[in-house]
Amino acid sequence: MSDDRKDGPSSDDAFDAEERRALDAWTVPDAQPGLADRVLAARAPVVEDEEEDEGGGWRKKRGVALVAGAAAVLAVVFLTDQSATGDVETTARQTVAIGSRAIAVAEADSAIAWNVGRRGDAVIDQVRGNVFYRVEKGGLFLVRVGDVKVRVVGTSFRVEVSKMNSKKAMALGAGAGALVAATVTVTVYEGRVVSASPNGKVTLEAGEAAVVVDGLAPTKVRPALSSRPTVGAATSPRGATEAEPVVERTPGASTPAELARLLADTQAENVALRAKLEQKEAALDEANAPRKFFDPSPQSLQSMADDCAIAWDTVSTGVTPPTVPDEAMAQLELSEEEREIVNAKMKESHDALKDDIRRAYTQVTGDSNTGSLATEAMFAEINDKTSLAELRRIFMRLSHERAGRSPPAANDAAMTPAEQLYRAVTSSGDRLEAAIAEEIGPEQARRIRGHRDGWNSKSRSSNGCPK
Amino acid sequence: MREVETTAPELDDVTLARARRGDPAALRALVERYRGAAAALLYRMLVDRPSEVDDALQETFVRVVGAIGRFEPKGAAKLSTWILTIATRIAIDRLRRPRPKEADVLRLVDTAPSPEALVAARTLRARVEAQMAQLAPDARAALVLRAYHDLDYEEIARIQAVEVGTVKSRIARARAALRAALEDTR
Repeated sequence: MSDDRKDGPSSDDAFDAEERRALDAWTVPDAQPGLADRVLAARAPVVEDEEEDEGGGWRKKRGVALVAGAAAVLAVVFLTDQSATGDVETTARQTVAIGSRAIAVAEADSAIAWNVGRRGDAVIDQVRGNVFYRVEKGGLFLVRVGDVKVRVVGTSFRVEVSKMNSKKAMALGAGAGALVAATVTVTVYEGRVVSASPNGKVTLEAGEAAVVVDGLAPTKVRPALSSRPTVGAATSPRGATEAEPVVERTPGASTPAELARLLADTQAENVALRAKLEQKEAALDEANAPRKFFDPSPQSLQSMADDCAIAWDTVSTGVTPPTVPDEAMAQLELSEEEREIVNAKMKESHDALKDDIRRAYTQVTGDSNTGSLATEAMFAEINDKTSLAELRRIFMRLSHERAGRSPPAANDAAMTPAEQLYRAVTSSGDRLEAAIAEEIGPEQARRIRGHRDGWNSKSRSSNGCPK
Repeated sequence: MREVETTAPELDDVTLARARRGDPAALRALVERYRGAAAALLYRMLVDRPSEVDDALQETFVRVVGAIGRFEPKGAAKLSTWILTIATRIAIDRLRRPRPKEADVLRLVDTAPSPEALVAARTLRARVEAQMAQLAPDARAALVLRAYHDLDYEEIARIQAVEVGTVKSRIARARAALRAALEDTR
């Protein structure tokens, strides 16, 4: 690591060759993949709270401010300290002043409520609709649409809240009639704004637009989908009038039909993004779900296939077969009869594994006198007498088959003894579970196997992939 | 010469700065960069509790990610040392707790050792692991940080909040355990 070590061990302190041999022998497996995903999923969500204090007290007032009422209510209060509150629900296009330095042109069926602080900082809650804002330079100007925040200092822009028609969502191939995407479209005409949601933020320059779908980060889209009203008294909100604004169509969207088509395109893009997000969330859930050793996730299988690694669990193949101990009986809710069945099946598996190892040993070494040899010693010698290249091929084939990258092998006779043995050993756990399931049911068999995360001998190994 | 677990360069300054601001891609890069070293440390520290390694590793990086904004790049500790410090403390905390029954996964329905276990029992690795499992966590940590992560005595002393002399005596005890493992195989 560092080259500026102040107190490294002296030569007297250095590990000698024998100690190094021991240290080198203490190897460790590779870290499991997917850690970064799990860590980022587990960490506390980042809360964007820089504007929370701005207008914080106003939140309590919002319920009061948005008193139900069909008629438009315009409340503009001009005070020397610039503070003002108000709300409006429109039935037709309407221009309102937001304090002394901004105006809003709200289209029909829009609803906004605002609070302007003593220093001129303004916070607007846009509940629905399509509103154009012109803001003079000054303090904070923040438009909130639920979790979406649009923060500006001196600019003109539009915020449009829309919900996607569920039929359109289905027609667009979202595949879920219940999927109704609430979207917020922000279009900037002058200056610069920051559009932020809990999932991210984007800075928009003049001529740019962004769409925010529930649960997604703001996404830039083709610019200027919405029309921009020209307000005669825009530079002086105090002089703002209720006169009908002149609408200037933006380049590239010269007709209402074209605008509608562009909007549909954007909504389709939103739905596609939402579907993609749901897929990723499902994959993340899958990856984060606790998995048993013997039932790795598809992602783990793919990762192991990348490394030509395989994991397996078997019963141990010592002198005597394993049995279900007394202390496990209550936890497994096994009857004595079931215990005998499980013990018998584990013995069968134990004996079969030993037979497989003996047979492979004889094939590999030519020595049929295996009676006095321990199975572990035979297994080790089989490995020793199998070339590294062959072991790598075996592990690659098995790992790729498990990951679904290649079909299962069909012809056992064409395999080397080592491959036959590895196939027998690595499938032994599944065969034992199936055998127990036949006797006492699959749920109980799975429970027994999973009680301690697999049969009592577990291995995960790789020799690297073939060169 | 044994390969040291943390020979790769530290995370670059730009990525670190982004990570400190909470940028997800940078945090991901940080985790990927240091997960190998932290995992190796935890595997060795929790040699007698292998089932806890994955949880400890995740706990380490959740803490790292949560506290990265407070990491001082110009401070005394390198980022790798800071992360290994967190991992070491998590491991020692776990070793001080009673061993959970669930950790004994290999023995509950076992009346005979597995072939792999018997093979391993004859290897030097198994002997080393057995000796290390009996070693006090602080001594184990000192050896692992010195031997596998190439930390110097002062860095280990800072991590363990003890004098350098204490670190040396801990490593001496660990070396004695290593030699005992070697004796066992002769």
